[in-house]
Amino acid sequence: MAGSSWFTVTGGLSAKRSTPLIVASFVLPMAIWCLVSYVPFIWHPLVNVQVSGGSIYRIGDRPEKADFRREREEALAGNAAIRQRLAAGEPLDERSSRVKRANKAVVKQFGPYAEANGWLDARAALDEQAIYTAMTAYLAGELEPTMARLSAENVAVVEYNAGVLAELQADDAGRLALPGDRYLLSLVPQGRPENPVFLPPPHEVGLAFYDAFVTPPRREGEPWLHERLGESVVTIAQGFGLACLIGLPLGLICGAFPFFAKLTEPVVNFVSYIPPPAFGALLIAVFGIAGGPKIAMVFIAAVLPLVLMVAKTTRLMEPALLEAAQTLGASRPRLVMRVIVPGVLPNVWNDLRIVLALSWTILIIAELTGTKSGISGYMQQQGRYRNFDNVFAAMVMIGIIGFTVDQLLVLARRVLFPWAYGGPLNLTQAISTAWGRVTGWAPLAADRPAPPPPARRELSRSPADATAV
Amino acid sequence: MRPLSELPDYREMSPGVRGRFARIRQRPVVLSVEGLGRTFVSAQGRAIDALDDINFEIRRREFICVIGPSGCGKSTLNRIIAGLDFPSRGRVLLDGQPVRGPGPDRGMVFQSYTLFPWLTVQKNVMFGPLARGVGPNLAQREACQWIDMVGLTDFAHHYPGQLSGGMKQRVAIARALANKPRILLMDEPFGALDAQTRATMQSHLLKIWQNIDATVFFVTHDLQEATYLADRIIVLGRNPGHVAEIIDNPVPRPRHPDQFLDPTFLAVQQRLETLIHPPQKLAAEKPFHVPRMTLVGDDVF
Repeated sequence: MAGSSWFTVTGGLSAKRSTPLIVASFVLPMAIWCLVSYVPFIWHPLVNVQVSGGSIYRIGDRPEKADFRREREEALAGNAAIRQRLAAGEPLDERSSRVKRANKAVVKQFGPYAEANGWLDARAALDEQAIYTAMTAYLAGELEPTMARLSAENVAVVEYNAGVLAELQADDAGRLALPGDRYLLSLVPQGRPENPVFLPPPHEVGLAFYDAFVTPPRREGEPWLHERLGESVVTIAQGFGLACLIGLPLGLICGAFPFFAKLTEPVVNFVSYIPPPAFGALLIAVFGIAGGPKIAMVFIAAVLPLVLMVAKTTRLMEPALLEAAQTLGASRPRLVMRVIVPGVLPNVWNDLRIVLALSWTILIIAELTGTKSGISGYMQQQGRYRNFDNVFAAMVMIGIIGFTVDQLLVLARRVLFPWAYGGPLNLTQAISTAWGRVTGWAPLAADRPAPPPPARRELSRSPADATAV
Repeated sequence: MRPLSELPDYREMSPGVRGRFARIRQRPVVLSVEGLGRTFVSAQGRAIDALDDINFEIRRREFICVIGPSGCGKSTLNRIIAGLDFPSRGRVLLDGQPVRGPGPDRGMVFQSYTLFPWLTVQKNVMFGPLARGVGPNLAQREACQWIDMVGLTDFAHHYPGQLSGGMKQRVAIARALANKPRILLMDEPFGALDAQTRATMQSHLLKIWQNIDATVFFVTHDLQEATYLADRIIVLGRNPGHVAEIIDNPVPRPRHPDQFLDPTFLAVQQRLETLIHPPQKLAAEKPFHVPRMTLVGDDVF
């Protein structure tokens, strides 16, 4: 392969070159997703609020970065003003009750943080005395935060506030005494940068993928995710299976006999221009709201193109083969069953793969007609809950199922039609070739002896059909 | 090529060859073509005569070559005899019975490779016998014999995709012969092969033909091939396709490539050349002008 380019226009690439490219085609988008998710300065347009302080946000809010920064700067400016006044030793000329009321609100700023960390329950998080106790315990290092730690500036704020409060005595009712002659410092809002909810990071999707199979559904009586997937697969199998049962023979007959082609194809062509979802209302009226309309819609979406594609594929068959069969004395039934059918099957098989992919496309809409069911029902529900990690997990699952089935069909093609794909499939050889592909680009490979030249296999010309990965 | 004057008349034949033709004329007629014509209607609605008033008879175990300039309708003639096309006028009789559509009594070998790619060599050869209703066991035995005859026993279980072009055509011959046809129609069967393979295939075909009871109707555009293979050569003319001459080939059998330079062989070839590319027509062709596009002097050659 010396001298050949990575960017050669024809002739294909060697396995040594194509394998890393195949791997990269999956790895590159994943890497971009990881970068965007885990490297904060690339995108992360939102802030997940961890400490609300005196701001308008609550813990867990996701404001835009700019809005959050404005709140933060306000809090910092307020604290700076209080500190300046203290340093200058200027006395406050405000009514003591008013100052106390303000200070009470400031002390309560620590409440939600303590509650979010599980140090206080919801009721105690409103009680100043309990909050003060939690503050001192936090400063003493007795409480470990489960959320983000307080920033250095916030620790200084809490230290100052606790110091001021410690100088005062609790009143008889056990309520916390608050200073009336100076202002306490406000907590500064704290948060971590985050992406919008519709772009969860990969690990969350991975977890959701795993959780979907091991944790029971949130509401009782709801199907598990794998049950929903099963529903979808059964719907596809029934709709697509029925379409094959009717569409394959019909397409073959149309392809073989112009009589049937002229009788069938014009109307099939016409109906195939009506988008299958347009049949939704009609199908619900006919089949009810349960599984029936979904199967019927997948069937309609699959059978029409299947008839047209199979008929066209059949017509593309080499006419010389049919003439040869006729000069060998083949009767008309024999011509159809022994020449046309085996001759077009490998190409019809590829048609089936295309139509199966089409069935999945329509399934997603079909499952939302009538009662929502299957994987798309799940995705819609999770999207409403804004659990986009689950939505992503479901999408990935559809992708995996579709891709796996397609690859199996590609493999089956080699078993079923060995003549069209360079001789019978040798499983051990296929595995060793695959292994060679994986290990072939390791530097060690260069030291290995070259494999013996293939004997008769050189004669075989396999069609340049490289849909298999 | 030698000047015409030095070559013998192509009609002169040795007593041996003359005797052979006399014996052939004693044999029964297998195929007769009577007043055959074929008219196509062009896309503009004009009638185009591809063949007109074709008459000839072929006797049992004769080797007939059909030759003619391109577009003279030799393939159409072959297809009409095979039953894949239909005459507009006249008729084709096989053993006295008019031909109506394709049948196993007229085996055909096409120029394009027409082996069924999904069947092994053996199954391809079995196709005809099975279609005729022969039992699978017998069909397989017969197939083995024919595969042996074309020398491909080792490849009986290969798929056509694994064979070279020459091998494919050998299988195609075996497949056609497995039906024991009255006549074997061949439409430029070696046209797509390289010269080396073609020569081998020609010798091979002659050897097979000598050892079986088969009449061969062989369409070609190769003058040497026609002279080498045929007993009689039917030369077709153009516009519309008609029989220009039927030549009794004086080259004695058994044939051998050494004969290519025999005066008799060359005389036949010369005659074919004259019929297909008439000298007066060649002279009438406008000479084409090639402008000089190089600065290199002629002395470099």
